[in-house]
Amino acid sequence: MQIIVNGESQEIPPECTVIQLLQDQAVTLKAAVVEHNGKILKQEHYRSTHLQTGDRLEILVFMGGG
Amino acid sequence: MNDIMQSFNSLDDDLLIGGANLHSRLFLGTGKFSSHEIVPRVLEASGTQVVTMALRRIDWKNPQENILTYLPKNTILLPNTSGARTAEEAVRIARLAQAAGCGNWVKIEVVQDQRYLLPDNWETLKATEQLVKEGFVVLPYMSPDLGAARRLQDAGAAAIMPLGAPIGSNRGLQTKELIRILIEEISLPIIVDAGIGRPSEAAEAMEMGAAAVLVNTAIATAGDPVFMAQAFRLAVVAGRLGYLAGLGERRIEAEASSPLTGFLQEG
Amino acid sequence: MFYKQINEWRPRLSESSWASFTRFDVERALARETLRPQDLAILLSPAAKSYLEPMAKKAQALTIRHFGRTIGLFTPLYLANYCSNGCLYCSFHTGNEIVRCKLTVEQAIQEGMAISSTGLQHLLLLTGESRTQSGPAYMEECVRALRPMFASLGLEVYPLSTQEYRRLFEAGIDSVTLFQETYDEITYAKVHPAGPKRNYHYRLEAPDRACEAGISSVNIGALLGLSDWRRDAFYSALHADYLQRTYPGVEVSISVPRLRPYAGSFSSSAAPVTDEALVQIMLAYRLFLPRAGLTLSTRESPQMRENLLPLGITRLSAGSLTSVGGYSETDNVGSAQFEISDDRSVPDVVRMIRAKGYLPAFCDWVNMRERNAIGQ
Repeated sequence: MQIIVNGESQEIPPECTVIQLLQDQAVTLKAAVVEHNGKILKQEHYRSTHLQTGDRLEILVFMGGG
Repeated sequence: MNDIMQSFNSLDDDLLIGGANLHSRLFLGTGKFSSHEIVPRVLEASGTQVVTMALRRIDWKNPQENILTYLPKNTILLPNTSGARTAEEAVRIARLAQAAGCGNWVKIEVVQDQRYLLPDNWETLKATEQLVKEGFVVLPYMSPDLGAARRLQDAGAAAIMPLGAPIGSNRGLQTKELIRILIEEISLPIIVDAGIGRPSEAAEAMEMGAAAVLVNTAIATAGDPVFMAQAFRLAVVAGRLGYLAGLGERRIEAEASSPLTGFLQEG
Repeated sequence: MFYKQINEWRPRLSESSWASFTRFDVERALARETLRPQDLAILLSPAAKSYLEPMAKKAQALTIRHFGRTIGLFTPLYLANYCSNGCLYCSFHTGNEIVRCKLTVEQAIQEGMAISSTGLQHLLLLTGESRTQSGPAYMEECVRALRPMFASLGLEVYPLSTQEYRRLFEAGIDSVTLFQETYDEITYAKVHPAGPKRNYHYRLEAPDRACEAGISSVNIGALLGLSDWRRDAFYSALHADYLQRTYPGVEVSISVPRLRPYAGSFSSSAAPVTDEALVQIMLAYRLFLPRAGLTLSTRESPQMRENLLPLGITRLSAGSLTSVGGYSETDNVGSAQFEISDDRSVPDVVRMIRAKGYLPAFCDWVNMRERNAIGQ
């Protein structure tokens, strides 16, 4: 199924949770903050949140900055 | 030199912001370094306690390690809202940073102008008002304007961060006179952010009475960032001591004409 | 509120702390570009007495930088001298048997025309404190009648409420003058034994209320010599600084009135303010408050006014009378509040200012808001 991650559409397996997506993409959990359909998703909900077709995800990390 | 630093360290001259007692008046940005690995050594050499970073969409093809993993545990994190072009975007980034466990400090940076990267004071004020209400310790980056600074102060900002020159320009304190006015008129700490390219310019800002300076490009892009961090550390201390000691007068007046108070001796 | 600052400074202004300042402190304070309250105290201390000349040089340069070589002229018009206060140092004292009267609106217009014919355009209206004889409604009537004749109208009356200031602002008042007399609460209570003026705090906060009501210019001061002049001068300047910081849009001025002889007998137990002390106070004001107006009245002699002029003065009263009426040929003349020392005519004062190398300004501000209101 298709979802939008950081503005680009992406194919993911059905029944995929946020935590599975993050692990597939090798993102360490501490590093990221996730916005799910415009709302901040708390870390404790990564495991229980199942993604639906058309969901919009923003995955952000901290970079160097001034 | 160690003696001097020791006696400076024993001075009761902490900068109080957002409930924190800061002994170091040098804030550091973490952008533009050639590698993350050098960052901890730079931070140590600078003696800084407040470090800025940015929040960005992850680059899947080239996932870099999170900058946070390179920062010492007791560092105060000051995420900026760079990339925001409106108050709403800045507020959104601040909330995301807080959700990521960054604490409640935020440097508001709202830039619409992409040529000079000059901040939009109006949007910055709107974001400040909102985030103060939400309990953030808000440090707005701004163009040095007294009216805007007063409004930011009234909105509850914890400090004001006027720019010395455009971001990354290394052009020094081009806005010196305006910053001097802010230092005089605003009761909040004034932290000079952006434009400081040399240690001497950091010292100059501190001599004027700036509460702190934020430096990034000048250190990150130096030939030896660790040495440069040390140089800035010393410059900030030197400028601060100069300010505390009270600068001597620059004499400009010519020889006096007739005395103005001579009449007191007459009759 | 400013009272908080008085409380903070009170324990630091003892006799011994004044004496503790040294020549080095004075030199350092003189060298600073912007002065802190502590530097103000240093410049008022005995140690600064031998630095009056360098202080004067700096004060003169600062004044010219901020104001140019101009002196604003104004004159007072006493509308009434009924008073319910018992200020020991004032002729209008409720117990003094003086000629009491108040001008009718027609008489006020006569007086206004007489003053206006001298060229003066800034008028300061005064009354004693009597809500029955000279209440806000009476003031408003006079203000509306006099407004077309003058560029700017100031008010020097008893402290009013924010709503009353607002009402008079709407009627055409743009500046408010109010002296705390003394910031020392004990002396204040002693010299104000009766009447509504006993309320120290209501008076202290009146400039705040005026600013909040929209008044664009306030003039404060202490009656120097009533209490310890160093402390009163210190608090006056700190008060002006507080007002400048709290109301950035308001022009703040400070006056340097010295206790004058008047009808009645009062002698202050405080040390008299010598000429030298007056100069020191003025210079400390100017150095601490580079952009504040400094006002000098006709209480001082012609000689003294001439000598003080180049040290930082920005406004002078001219052709003043402190009686009720007297400018025109109206026969309603009440007793004067204090003896004026400089009774020269307006042209004489103008000549004096020119001779000192300054430009006398009959008008440096026009209250457009009110002119517009009249046209409506």
